[in-house]
Amino acid sequence: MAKSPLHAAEGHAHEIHPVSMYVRTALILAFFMVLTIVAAQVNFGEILTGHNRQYGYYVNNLVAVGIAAIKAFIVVMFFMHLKWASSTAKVWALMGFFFLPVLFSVFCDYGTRTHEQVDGWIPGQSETALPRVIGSRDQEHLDPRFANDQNRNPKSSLY
Amino acid sequence: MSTTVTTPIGSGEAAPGPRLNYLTNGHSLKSWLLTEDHKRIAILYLISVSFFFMLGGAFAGMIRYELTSPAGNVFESDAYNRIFTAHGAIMVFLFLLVAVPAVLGNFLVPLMIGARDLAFPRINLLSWYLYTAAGSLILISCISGGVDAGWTFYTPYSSLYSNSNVSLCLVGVFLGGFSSITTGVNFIATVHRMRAPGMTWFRLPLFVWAQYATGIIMMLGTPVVAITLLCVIFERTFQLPIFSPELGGDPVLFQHMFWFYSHPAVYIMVLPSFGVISEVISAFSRKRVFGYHFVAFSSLAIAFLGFLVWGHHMFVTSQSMYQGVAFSLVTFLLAVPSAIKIFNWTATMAKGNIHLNSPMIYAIGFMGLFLIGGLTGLFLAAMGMDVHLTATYFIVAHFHYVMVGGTVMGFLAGLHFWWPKMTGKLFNDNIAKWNAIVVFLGFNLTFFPQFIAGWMGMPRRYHYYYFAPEFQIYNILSTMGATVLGIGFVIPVIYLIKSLFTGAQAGDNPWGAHGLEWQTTSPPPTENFYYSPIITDDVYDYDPVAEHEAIRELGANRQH
Amino acid sequence: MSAHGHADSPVKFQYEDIDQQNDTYVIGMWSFMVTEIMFFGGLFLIYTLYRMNYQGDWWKAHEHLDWRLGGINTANLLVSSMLMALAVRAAQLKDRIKVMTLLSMVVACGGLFMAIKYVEYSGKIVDHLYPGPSFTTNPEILHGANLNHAQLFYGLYFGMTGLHGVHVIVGMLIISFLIKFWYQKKKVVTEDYIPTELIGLYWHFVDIVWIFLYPLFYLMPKPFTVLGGH
Ligand SMILES: [Cu+2]
Repeated sequence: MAKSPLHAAEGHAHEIHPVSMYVRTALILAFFMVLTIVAAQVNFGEILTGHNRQYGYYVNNLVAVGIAAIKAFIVVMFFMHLKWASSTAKVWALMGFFFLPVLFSVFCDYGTRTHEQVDGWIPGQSETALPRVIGSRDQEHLDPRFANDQNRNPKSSLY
Repeated sequence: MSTTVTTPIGSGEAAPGPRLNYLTNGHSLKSWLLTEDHKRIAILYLISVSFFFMLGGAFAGMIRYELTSPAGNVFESDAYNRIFTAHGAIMVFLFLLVAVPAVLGNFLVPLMIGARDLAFPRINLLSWYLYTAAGSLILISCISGGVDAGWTFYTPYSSLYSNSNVSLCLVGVFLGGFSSITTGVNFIATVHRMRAPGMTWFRLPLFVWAQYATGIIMMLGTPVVAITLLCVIFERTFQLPIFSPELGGDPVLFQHMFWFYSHPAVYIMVLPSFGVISEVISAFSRKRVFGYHFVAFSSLAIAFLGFLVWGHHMFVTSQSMYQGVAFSLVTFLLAVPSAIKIFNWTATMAKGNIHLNSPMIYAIGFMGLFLIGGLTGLFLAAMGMDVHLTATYFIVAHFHYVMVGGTVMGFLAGLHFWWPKMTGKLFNDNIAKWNAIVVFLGFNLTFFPQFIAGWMGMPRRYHYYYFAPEFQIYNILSTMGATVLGIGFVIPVIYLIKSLFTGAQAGDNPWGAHGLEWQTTSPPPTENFYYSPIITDDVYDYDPVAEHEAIRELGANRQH
Repeated sequence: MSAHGHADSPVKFQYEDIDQQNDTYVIGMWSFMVTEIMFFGGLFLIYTLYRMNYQGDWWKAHEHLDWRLGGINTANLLVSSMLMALAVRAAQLKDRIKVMTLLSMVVACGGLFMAIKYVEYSGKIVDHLYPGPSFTTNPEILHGANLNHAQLFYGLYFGMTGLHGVHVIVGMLIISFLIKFWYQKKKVVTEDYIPTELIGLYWHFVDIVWIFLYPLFYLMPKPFTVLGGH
């Protein structure tokens, strides 16, 4: 049967790689695993000084997720052989990672809201709606209005 | 299309006498239920999809019956909630999302690209079983006690307060999503790798382009709604708080994630219909589709832009107004690729040799209805006006124009167009023509009054309106239209089934259309083509001399 | 003529040759991976929003998780991923015994993973950390976190790791069937390595999800609000 150019495999998917390649990849992944644990012990919020301290939390998170992304990239490229796959497979593999940011654009909403409706909000009374600052809501139980919330377990009455 | 004869498929010996086609190749129930043939699976889908359409239609009938009187005294509020939920869930998840891709797409994509089957036939069969399981679960949940959360399953209503069969129904929807994903993956792999030699991307029929774009949406969107609904199942059955507002969870996030899929889902419903319309308009105008590349790329543009507009369903939630403005603008932008299609179809018809057969009448009806649906969508995309129109019958009318006017008209157009190919029989085109007009008129009579009632402020999902009896006239008109529409949907069932027994044999190409699927016999053999096709010319290449022949033949082939 | 119609041929009748088939399989599997990415992506979206809103409470609630057990599982899945890749290599070389050995080790790693998960889950349940009416009110276990927000944390913890666990179990089942096919010398798997590779892709994906879950759940940094001071 004549093989048409359309059906010709694009890459060199059938290459057999040496065991050492896989072991090396695993070792690099292990290194990054240790690195992510070590990085978590370092608190950038304590290292940074003054006004910058509040950004330490985000630095920590960026480092953690960044390392995870690098690890994922290595797994995808070498264990999953994407490096040697056809360009179509590459496009599809990237598609998922490209589309996640589209889903995460939900945060354009949460980041640009001016007021957030919270517990105790009384419609029509704007002073009961707390001004929204990202990352501040875990403190709301320090607010005297939420003092009783500590021991309230609404689930128990609802289920 | 000139296809060069190459190697015969199979063992090489020409079968003597009447050749086996996919319908005659095995008659046992097992040969149908365990088939891996994409054409048989399409028929299985056709039967089940029609069943659920009739069922959803019955629930719609109950809604319309209730609304003829402002007093709302036929059903209790609770029963009415369950009825409109059943109508919505069955129609959306079991008919609209499935009808065109799973029936016509399954049947035609391999034929149109010159392949022997889809890439993964067994997974194709699995998708039908998943669909059947989904259908059974949704059906059971709707019949035994019912579901009252609305097809949108907004939390916390669906998670915390509803005591109906929400979990069971959600499992059904989840399985339906799985079925949709398998179909999408199958189409994408097939279009990428199974095209016959010479079938380049820009020789693909626009129907295939539309299916490909649909596959992308199914692949990227469906998993998001699957996980969203799974979270609601978690909340209900495992008490894992995910969207629980009383613990600080965010129900608006549910809406974000739900509409991230459910807006593109509208394009899962109408994009395949767009594909059908492109084929039908071209075949019955006997012209190449005007601006082929634009139509093809507008499908991809719709698939992509469709993911960036979901917030227009949430203008009246606590969504940020800045985000609202962005969503509003992108929604207006999205009208452009849809309009490109309408322009191109009209331009295709211009100075064409138009034959008003039943598929063409459905296609023209589609264009009219989709135009109204699309333009009223622009009303709703404007934030200020949306505040006034949210949750009124204006919305109901709008999405019925888009989804029913789009999907059902496209489905009927396609079903009539390819029925001779699917069954090898000609149906009575005269009755079909009149029926297409009945459907068009009935549809407008049903849903146009709802625009007016909605504009006047009639809220959706209410079963009484004694506070505003002036809505009654519109509701009665609507119910009259629904009756006409119902008749218009029953008549095709009768004449199409009748054609199976008494219809004349259709030739290979009864419409004189141009396309690879018309090159093989009707019905096609199991392996689709007796000879491996090699494509040497462009799609929709209607040349004048051959046209003359084709038109003459078309006359000879007609039943009357 | 080609292999059409021969039941024992690894090339299915709709394909021209094994290359086309393999290529299509790989594309199909990657498309499926995309759906899996979006599937877990939704959960990560919910996680990110709540974590941003309740940094301090979530950090306090997370203190109860044992990063060492999570770390062991991370290493465990890493090793299993490598073994899986080596199994695919052995399948390329058609070394049947080696494939079966390596795949069995992968399943064993999966078993170990689930065993550690079992230990972790039962610890949480004993401490009444499963969300719902019986959720603990003991501030010591929660390190003083707001009960409602801690419930959200544990709700997502059980939801996300649970769903991942389901994927691990499904993977173990599929790999067990793969081993069975290799044992029975089924031509589907022995003639070409791609079926083994596809199952490998799935297993690596499960590993990737855990690569993200581990730092997000077990290694949370202390937020500014808990550090105190302005
Ligand atoms: Cu929308």
